[in-house]
Amino acid sequence: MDLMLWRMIKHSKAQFIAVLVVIAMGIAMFTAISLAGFNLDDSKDRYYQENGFMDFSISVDQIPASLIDDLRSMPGIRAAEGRITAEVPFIAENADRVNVKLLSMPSEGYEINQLLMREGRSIQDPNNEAVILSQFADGRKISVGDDIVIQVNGLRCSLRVVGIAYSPEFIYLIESIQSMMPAEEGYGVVYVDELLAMQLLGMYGAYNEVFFLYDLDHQGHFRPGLTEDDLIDDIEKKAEPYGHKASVLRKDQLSNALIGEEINGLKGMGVSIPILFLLVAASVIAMMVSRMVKKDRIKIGVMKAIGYSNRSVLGHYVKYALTAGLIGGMAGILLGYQIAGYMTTMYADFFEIPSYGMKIYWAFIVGGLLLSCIFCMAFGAYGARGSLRILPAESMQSESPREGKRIFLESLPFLWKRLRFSQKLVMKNVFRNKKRSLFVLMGVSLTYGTLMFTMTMPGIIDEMMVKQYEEYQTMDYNVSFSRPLLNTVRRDLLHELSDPTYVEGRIEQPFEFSVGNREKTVVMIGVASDSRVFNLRDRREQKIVPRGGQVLITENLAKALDVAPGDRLLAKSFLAGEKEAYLTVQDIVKQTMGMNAYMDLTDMGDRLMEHGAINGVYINTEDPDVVAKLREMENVSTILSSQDMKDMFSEYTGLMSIMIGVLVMLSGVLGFSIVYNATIVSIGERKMEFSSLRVMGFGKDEIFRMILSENIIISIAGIVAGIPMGYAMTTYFAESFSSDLYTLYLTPTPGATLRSLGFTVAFLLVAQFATFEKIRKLDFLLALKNRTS
Amino acid sequence: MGIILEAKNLKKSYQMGEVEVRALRGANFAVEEGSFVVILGPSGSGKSTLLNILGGMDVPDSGEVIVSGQTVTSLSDKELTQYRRTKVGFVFQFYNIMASLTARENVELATEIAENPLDIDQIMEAVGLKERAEHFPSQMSGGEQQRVSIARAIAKNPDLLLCDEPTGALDFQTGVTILALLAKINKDMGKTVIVITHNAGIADMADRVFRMRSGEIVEDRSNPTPLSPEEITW
Repeated sequence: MDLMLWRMIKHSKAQFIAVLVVIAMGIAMFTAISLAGFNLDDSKDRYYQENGFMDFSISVDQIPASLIDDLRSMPGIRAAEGRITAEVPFIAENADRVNVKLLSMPSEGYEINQLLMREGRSIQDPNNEAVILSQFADGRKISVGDDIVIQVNGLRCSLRVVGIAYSPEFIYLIESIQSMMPAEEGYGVVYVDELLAMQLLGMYGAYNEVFFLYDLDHQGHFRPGLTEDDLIDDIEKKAEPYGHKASVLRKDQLSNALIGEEINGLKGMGVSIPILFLLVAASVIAMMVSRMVKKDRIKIGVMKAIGYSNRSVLGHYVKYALTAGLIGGMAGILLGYQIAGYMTTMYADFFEIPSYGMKIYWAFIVGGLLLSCIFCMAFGAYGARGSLRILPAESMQSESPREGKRIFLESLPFLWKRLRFSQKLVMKNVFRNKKRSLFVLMGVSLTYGTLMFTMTMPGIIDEMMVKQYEEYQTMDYNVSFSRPLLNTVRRDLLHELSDPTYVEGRIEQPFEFSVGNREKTVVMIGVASDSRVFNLRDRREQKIVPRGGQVLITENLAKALDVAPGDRLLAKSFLAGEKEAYLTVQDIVKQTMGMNAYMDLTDMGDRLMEHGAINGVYINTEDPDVVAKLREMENVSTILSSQDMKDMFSEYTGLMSIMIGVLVMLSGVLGFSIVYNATIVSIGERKMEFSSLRVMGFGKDEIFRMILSENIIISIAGIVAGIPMGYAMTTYFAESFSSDLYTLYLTPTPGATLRSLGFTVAFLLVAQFATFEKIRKLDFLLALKNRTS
Repeated sequence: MGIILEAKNLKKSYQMGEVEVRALRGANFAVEEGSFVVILGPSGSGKSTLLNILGGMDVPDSGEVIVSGQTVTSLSDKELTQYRRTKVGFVFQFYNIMASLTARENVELATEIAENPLDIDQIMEAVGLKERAEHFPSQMSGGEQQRVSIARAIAKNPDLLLCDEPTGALDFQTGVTILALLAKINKDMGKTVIVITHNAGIADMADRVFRMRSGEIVEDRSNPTPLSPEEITW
């Protein structure tokens, strides 16, 4: 039996290899993505644990150092540390300026958000030494021993870099959520001694941030009677008198949230795509085995006549499928393990997570192999079930002709009569084996759908960047002030910047929105009623402006709070004095990046801040020195340029095109495998039919054209069915990847639809022409002699 | 009547595993136009190989086949396809008709590619399947299926009808009706019919009988008084 199995494999080697490739790719992806995802997660967790990544933090105006001891002694708190933070300009040698986060480091030991030194040492001389974050050092090519200049409160301060470090707090370093992509040279973190920070920022004996580590048991739980919510409430109450601005849980910490999104996306892909591949491979196996059983009818009859049981006959064919599962699975695991290594290193390098080596998760290796074997065995058994019905005596007799049936098109005489006979023949063949036609149709749909979704992916960049910065928001710069100012400050800015310049006041302030027990902290933006830089659009893409007493919210915020237009929500400010107001949801607006709420600027100032106040401006200008001029101005804290962010995304498109290439290739492998295998099986089953045609005088090219026509019809139907599938996949992708951080609006464009059509047709043609060789080599004499073929 | 087919010193060997089988060892014979010929021989005598070469489905190692003045053995693959399309019709032991097509459609399949096809309705009537024309093979008996196969073969209006054990899968009575149909085609339509069989009884209805043994024609005899199919027995 095993010898027969080996010969069976040898005989169908081309198809067997095609199946192996699909299985191996599926399992390789499963192993690679899962291993990379879990290793990355592990590395991150270990990094967090070893470096005491914060569990919780608060931002305040100023909190006295003495209160930190009080906070530290709270039940449920293991450690509490204060820090001074400020956004300050970094002045490069060429006078280029970017923002850096200036952070204080305790002079003595500290426990939370510990730095991992890459080079150099910690600060020893508190007066002029600094440690800088690794990403910024690389981006700006700063080495240990270099001097850097920062500007604090208008004063330039030269610092000697003594160390370059990683921080668990800034694995994903971006200036704000609006930046989206990390830009190593564009934003950095500079650590100075606590005393120096206090001195520079005039915060003697006080901090503006406090970090906490929870006191948890081994299972990660608080001691009985204590909950995180209660603890946070207590902390916030204590911080209130000191101008509590915001509270951040570990899960919401920007870097952690972004890296979490990446890893979760990776893990999700590790299941869905491989399952798709395995399903295709297993279906092809079922088809091949079913064909073998038909071909081996006499052999099976003889085996049964000799005394082999149904189970051993079925087992013989299941073994064939199992062999494919085992070989394909093992090849996939080996390949996947290699790829996982590269992927983990690539991701770890990208995120600057220290490498802790590649951990082998046997569960995935065994799981991958099991998955592959189970899929193949189950589908193999399904394909071989026909062997159970074969009776020894019947198998020796010639098979009676398959039942012929009229196809539904024949009941449409006006159409049927218009077809030429050869066209009728093709149609009859298409409908003759409905299962196989359906399989090819689904394969083509899947290929087309996957390609359509792949081709739509570049739309992510378009959607996120073009929509955000060319449609919804058209400001060149978003400038934040270090404190609220009167709207009249716009005149000063206009005076400083050369014409043509447009300056529009704005408020951007974090608020806690709550409805019932659902709450979310987001930045609310006060937009001028005659805004020329904000083009807020409702879900029907109609322009909309915030009305007094009402609030416009983004789709993801509406989803998070489960509110609809007309609902009321409570907006609570984090500013000292804590203002709050009930606001009615006016409508839901489209936005690709971030989660925000919008109010009328004047109304927002009146209700939630102070009359006529703004805390920043949006600027449109052609002044080439705008950034330099703004940096020199008092009260300007951060400057975000739309162009810089667009440029960053352009760089990202390079990475995206590699990903698209891989996905196109995978879709091609799927399409090729399905069409090639289905056609080969079809040719095998119809050998006698084709031989009869050859004897009758049909040429090889005529027979090939007949098969080609059949596949073209099925493929056209498949492509038509693939359009909604592509749309569904794109929508699913957009929804599953949308988060608090960004919302994807992906709709396949006509261009993407056409490009996918081109690729699908190309893949199908390659598969089709690969089968021509089989027709060319068809031995029609042998087929005619063998009545069972 | 003139010679329609001439085979000259046909030799053919092929490998069967590691064994070389000499199927034809120099077969020579000629067939007159409009005759009913039976090539008789036991299994392994080379008669199927001979029929395949005559029908342009196989090529000899040496020797010539000339049909209606055309040397078939020197034709290219494309020309052989054309030869099969226009000059010869085949009838097989196991019918080899399309299960997904009705009787009529099976015949239509042949007329599609023929240069000078016969009228389908007339053929269906001639083979006695006028009433069963819209039936599928699965709805027909073996004899009816073989009639479809014959109708398909003659629909192209070929010069030669080559039949490989046409009654091999049928019972005696049905076999006789099929032979009667072949005789009718030979007589009424003037087609040259060559039947290969191991069944010596069929030889009695032939105008000419070639007996084969071990790849050679060992007997060539004319039958001046052929019996009607109804008279023969086996």
